[in-house]
Amino acid sequence: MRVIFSITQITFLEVVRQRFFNFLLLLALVFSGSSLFFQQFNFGSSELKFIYDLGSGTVLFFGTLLGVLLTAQLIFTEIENKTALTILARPVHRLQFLLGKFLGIWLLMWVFVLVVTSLLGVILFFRESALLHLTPDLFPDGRHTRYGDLLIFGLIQGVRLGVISAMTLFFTALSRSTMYAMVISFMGVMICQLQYIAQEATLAGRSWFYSAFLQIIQLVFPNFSLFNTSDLLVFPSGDALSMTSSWMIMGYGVLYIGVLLGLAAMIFQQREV
Amino acid sequence: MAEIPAITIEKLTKEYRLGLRGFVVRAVDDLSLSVPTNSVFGLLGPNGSGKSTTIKAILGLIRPTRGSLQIFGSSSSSIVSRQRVGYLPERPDFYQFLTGRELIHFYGKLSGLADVRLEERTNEVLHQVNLVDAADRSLSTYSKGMLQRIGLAQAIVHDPDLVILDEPTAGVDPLGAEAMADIILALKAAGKTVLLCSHHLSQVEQLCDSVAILYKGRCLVQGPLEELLERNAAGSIRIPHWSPEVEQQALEALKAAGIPVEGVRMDRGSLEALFLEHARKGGRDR
Ligand SMILES: Nc1ncnc2c1ncn2[C@@H]1O[C@H](COP(=O)(O)OP(=O)(O)O)[C@@H](O)[C@H]1O
Ligand SMILES: [Mg+2]
Repeated sequence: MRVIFSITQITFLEVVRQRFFNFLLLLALVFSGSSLFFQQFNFGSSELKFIYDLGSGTVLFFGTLLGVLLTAQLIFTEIENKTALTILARPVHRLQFLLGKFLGIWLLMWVFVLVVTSLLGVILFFRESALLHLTPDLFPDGRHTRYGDLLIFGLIQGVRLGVISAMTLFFTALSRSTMYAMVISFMGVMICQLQYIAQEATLAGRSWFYSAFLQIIQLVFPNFSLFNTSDLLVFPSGDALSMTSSWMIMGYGVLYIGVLLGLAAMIFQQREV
Repeated sequence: MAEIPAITIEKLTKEYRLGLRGFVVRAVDDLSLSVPTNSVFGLLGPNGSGKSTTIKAILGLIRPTRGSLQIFGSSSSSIVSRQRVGYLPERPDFYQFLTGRELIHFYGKLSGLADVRLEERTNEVLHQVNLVDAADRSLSTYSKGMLQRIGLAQAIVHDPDLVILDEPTAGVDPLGAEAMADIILALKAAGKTVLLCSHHLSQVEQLCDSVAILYKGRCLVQGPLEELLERNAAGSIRIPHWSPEVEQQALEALKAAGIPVEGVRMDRGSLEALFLEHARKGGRDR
């Protein structure tokens, strides 16, 4: 355990010192800037929903980018600069090495989600207060925003980014170059994201062979549309996402993380560094 | 009872398969050797002769195609074999954004050091490699020689009985190489075993008790350095304040004593020796 956490700590520290937070700050500025910019059009209470979409979109898009790029880059740097050699030449299991790395990256992902989500909460709160003051008749029952949902949103997205990192780790263990690992991982994420298409196609029921193929894809790749819950949270149009469903989605993600890390470790065990 | 050797290699062959068509490179070919404890063993040979590959196989970082390897009697494929070993890889880079002290701390923890002992050892090895002043600077500001020394420090932080160094003086200036040599001798004096690998034969000649010379993956010769060099030993006499008259006298004296002379060579002294002499006067580097 100590070994794993030492690797986690050093991974985290190294990335933070690589100006990770500068990137985060920049992103936060762009996001707040754009929500302020759209403020001038003043489209009433739907503006809040718009800000929320902007924020959740930021987490989805940049989170995915960060998850894939950071994971692939970190592992390959480690192999290229011989650090992996010096770590594995000690009494350290390869599984410990991978777990340590993964936890370090995942921690960074959580920081990312935390920062953007909190910022989103703060911006929503201030804008809603302002709108309440300006156009009270649009808010007959007081505040619209379900701020508690932001927490659930953050949790689910954190788990989702964990799945992305674990998947990238798996593809990285298979690849020989950073570029290859990144491209393959992005394709993997894409497939996961588009799972619902496969699902619909299976239901539409083409040929026997085709639907068997789709079913295998559905089994092997996690279904990311499950994580796309932002429309059911904060400003739900219909029923909000229940607590039970939220936990189930997170459990589903954690399960996939476990499986992917296990597979990555098995491949990495065979690999010559 | 014979002591267990620090390293035992039996009939090691390592082949790399390149590409899909299965083109095979044989990096090490049927190598057997044994490194006795408390000695400095030189694994020598030109670039590409299979030294690094042999070392990686010893450390269980790559799997041998054939053959068996042991460290202090336990197989290289097991984790326990790596408990008493320190390793400096070839041209290490390490993390750019950590300080020297953080790096040593990290490796100490990986090898199971904790608390006071970790603190103690970190300071000790930083001192040993003469990096105390630079310990709290980021590694990205380190020179080549300093990186090599911090690499050595991480290899010995847990006080291992066997230290494996892959080209420790590659790209290091003469002063740095000399410092490295001093540390290696100190390790031996402390009862450790050092496996040293280098393509720079003359640089390690003074250090090694035994050597094995590899070429294209095969071992050409191996044994104690004394024995190997005795076979074609030739003495030389150095005479200071040279002049043609002195030469004449010396040759006549030798001739009178019945000692055959192979040749006379003017020795201008080497630039390296000159540099070292001045540098010692000028104090240590930073
Ligand atoms: N990962 C690898 N894949 C393919 N060939 C390799 C690999 N590593 C080393 N080789 C080849 O094995 C031979 C020995 O290399 P190496 O052990 O690095 O030599 P040395 O350390 O003595 O310079 C070289 O011909 C090198 O090209
Ligand atoms: Mg080498």
